Amino acid sequence: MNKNWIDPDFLQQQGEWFAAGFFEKEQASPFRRISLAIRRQLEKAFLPEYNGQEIYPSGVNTFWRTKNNILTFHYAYTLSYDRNRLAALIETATSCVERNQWLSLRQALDAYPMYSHQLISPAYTVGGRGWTHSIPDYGTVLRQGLASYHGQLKLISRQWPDNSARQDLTAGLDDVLKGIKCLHFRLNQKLPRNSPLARDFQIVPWRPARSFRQALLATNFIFYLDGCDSLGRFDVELGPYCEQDLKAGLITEKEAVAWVAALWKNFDANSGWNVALGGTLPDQRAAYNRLTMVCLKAIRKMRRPNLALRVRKDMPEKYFNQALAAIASGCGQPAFYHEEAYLQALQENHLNINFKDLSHYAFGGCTETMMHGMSNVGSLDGGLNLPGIMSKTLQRCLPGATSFKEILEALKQDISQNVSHLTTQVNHDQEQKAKYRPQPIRTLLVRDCLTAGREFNQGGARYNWSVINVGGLANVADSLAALKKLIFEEKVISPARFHQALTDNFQGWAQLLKEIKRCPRYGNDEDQADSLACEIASHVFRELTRYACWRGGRFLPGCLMFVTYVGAGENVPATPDGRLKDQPIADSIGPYFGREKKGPTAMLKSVAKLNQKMAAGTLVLNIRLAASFFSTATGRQAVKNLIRTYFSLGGMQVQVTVVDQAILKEAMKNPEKYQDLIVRVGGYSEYFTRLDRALQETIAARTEYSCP
Amino acid sequence: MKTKITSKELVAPVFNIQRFCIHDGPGIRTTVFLKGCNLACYWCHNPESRQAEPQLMFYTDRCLGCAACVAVCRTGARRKDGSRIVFSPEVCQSCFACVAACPTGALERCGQQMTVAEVFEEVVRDKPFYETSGGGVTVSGGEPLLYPDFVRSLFLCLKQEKITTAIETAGAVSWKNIKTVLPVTDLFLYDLKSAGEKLFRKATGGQLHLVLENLTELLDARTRLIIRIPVVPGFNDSPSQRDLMVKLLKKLPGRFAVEPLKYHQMAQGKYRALSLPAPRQEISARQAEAAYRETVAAFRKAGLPVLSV
Ligand code: SF4
Ligand code: SF4
Repeated sequence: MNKNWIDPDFLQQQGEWFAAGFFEKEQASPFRRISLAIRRQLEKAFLPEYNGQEIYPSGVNTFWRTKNNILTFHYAYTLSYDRNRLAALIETATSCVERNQWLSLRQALDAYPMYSHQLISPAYTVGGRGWTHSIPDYGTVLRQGLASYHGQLKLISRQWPDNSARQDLTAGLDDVLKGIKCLHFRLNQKLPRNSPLARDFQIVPWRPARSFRQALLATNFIFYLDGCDSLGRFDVELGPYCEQDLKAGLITEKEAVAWVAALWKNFDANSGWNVALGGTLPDQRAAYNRLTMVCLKAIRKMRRPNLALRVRKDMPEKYFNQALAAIASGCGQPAFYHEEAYLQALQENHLNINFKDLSHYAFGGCTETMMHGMSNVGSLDGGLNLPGIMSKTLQRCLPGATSFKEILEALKQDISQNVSHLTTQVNHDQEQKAKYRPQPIRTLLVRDCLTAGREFNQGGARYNWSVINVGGLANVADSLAALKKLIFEEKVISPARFHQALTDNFQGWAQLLKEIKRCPRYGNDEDQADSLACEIASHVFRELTRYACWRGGRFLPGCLMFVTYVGAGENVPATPDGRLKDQPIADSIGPYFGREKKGPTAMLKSVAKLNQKMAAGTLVLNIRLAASFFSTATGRQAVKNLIRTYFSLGGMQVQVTVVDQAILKEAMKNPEKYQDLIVRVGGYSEYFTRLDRALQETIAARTEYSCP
Repeated sequence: MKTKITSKELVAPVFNIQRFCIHDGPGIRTTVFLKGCNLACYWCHNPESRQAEPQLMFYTDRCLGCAACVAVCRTGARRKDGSRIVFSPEVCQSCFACVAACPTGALERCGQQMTVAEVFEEVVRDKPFYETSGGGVTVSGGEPLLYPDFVRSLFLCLKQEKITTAIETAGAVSWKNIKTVLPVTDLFLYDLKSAGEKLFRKATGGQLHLVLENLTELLDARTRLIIRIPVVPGFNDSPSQRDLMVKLLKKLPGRFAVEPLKYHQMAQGKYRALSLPAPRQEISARQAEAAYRETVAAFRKAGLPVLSV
């Protein structure tokens, strides 16, 4: 045997189940290999004892990350390869044979194109790159059970006996199903015999769920299986079970809340992401039900999921009130989504969404728009750092600029060019993913992959689009406004000198900084700055939507900075808006920290001027309100009216954080005392004290409104 | 009869236009603060509103001591004394050269003559929010009814936009002024500071009977009206004063609501910035809260229609 031969038995002995499966049939297709790897992992991985919780299994997902294996499954990009661990094993190998095994494993793994997101250059990583969040088709599992997939696989296999691709697919998925079955069996054995939990867990997810608790267990199981991700329209899928049990008196609302809270907790422990609530049903009726209320009650003080409340015009007030009560509890949840605008935007953006499916939009990850159970959405495939792009433009053409228009046009051109580069890279990435990083579990659980006979990453899902993050709009708008006013209107400084100030990082340019401060700023309902923001935003959105994705579908702009706005500012030189080198860029589609001076109404009006319908990938808007707003009925009513008006003006999403500035300052001083303080950053909630210092500072600096 | 053409050129001194106000009438509102007042309540929380002329406000905590203001001040109102900057308001000519020179914003100009058209342009911006919330525009002060023609003209413009209007007044003006704005005002927020003539004169320098006559007149005219009562501990919160107030309110004709207002001490900084002595007595937040609660309870008990937060 040659040196490169890898012995699966050896890997098994080492507890490297996933790798063992992966190298069992080295000649097979990546799809078969990964399927087999998944199967082995599910069959063999260590499972902890039952921990007595209501939701089972719970605790940090054990079967994908048993003991920090070298090779494991990762929900977002299939494979996770711990190179450092392997290096350590090579170091500490006790025998020659062992060492050789590890060495050849390293050689083989290094040769395998592991991470697609390394194909996308760091310039396009604002918000992330090469990630895929997803919402499995929970509905089918709940209503028909996983067992129904067996029959489906057989049918397809029989129908296309000569189609090798389909045979490959069904054979791989058969492995996966077997692995799942084995895992389920093993999990079951850990439960106390004949306990109610064991009885429920025996039924789901194989057979259809019949009670709310069974539905919860099935949902939790599938969520675990996917490695982690989003639940989509949780209240629509599970609502009927919940209502039926409540009506029959089998459970009380209190129990339902406790169960859902337990699920959320587990979700949080496993970096679960998004849950969408309410909105519209396929028959156009409003989707709010008793489970919607239960979810809103359960989210109090929780960090995750990112709860997305789809607000229809006719949403009953009690849901709005409960949502505000949850926000007032300090968790920043839920965020509000403008139902009518989303439905319209998704129709208008050439995404070819079947009218029947339209109402099933939901969100993955922070808040990337996708269709519940039927999407493969690049989320995020990449992002554009607008201030970064602008800096390069200015370096080139500011010193010799003769008119503002010249600068604006040059910037637009650069943006177009960057969009073209980015989309080319993303498409290349998608192609690589399809070849080397198939996703068997999602192929099984996302609609149309099976019927179309196509793997998930090959474009088998019914909807394929890619959400691209657009970061730092506010900095660009304010920069342009400052250049326009100071250089070309008031002529208080020459282009060359302004350029010098930027190069000097404004050191020794205090007077200029002062002049910049009195220039119009985006977010104050002043058209001079807002119109520039609109122009740039429309340009970026238009450019992005021009391109098609390799996997099918289009690019969908969004702005979800997550926590990345701090990092995104590093290495970006000083910008004409007065932002110094390395300082963070804007954290959402709203104004830059502390630059809004006219209160929330003006801020919302400014942001609503953008052509938001072109960016249904979700334009996240942060608004921070003082706690005092939530303590009186008048204040809460005002918050509702702020949101409703923002929506009536065309706004699509807004998320509210309730914090008192004093508290944040205090928390920075005494982090131990504020472990439970949650703030909303980018599209999601995070514990304030877990954030790094720079991020904490920007959040504390975000303008906070109090009741005048 | 031909309607008089409204003059959008009328001016009044404005010291603030505050958007997103939620405590000056229903819904989300924009409040226009006019400068100048004919009363002098000792607890005033808008001391910058008393004088109609523009004023310089100096926030010492933001001052770097760079003396840029001293260099541009031609009257010597700003002087450097050791490392400290001293300001002598009596010599200041309000030219505001120093405001432009100050790099930190420690100096601010308070008060600006604005035309009706300018104010209108600013307040009409939040129309979508008024519509959703049932809000509108409130004119406050100072005493806005010192500028009845200005207010009337502004409100006429707002009426054309179907925006509702409210006025916050202490009512110590001649009935003629009120009559001017009456037809274009949807809501009066009518301050009633005490029920005793003597006490009223002592604390505010005004005449209570004028306030009460106007109030009765307004109620007779079936105007929508909220009577607002600042609850100032040590001034009008004693049981006897409260009883007097209840009796007075009970006697009033027509329909109205009563809204007690909690006293707060957030104006301290402004007194300092204006180089004015702060209200003499110290009132703690707890005291203010207790006085407010008691008043609300007493009014409720007396069967008055109380609005409270
Ligand atoms: S306003 Fe004019 S006179 Fe008054 S302190 Fe400033 S510069 Fe001097
Ligand atoms: S210019 Fe401003 S910061 Fe400088 S001394 Fe005067 S008030 Fe203080």
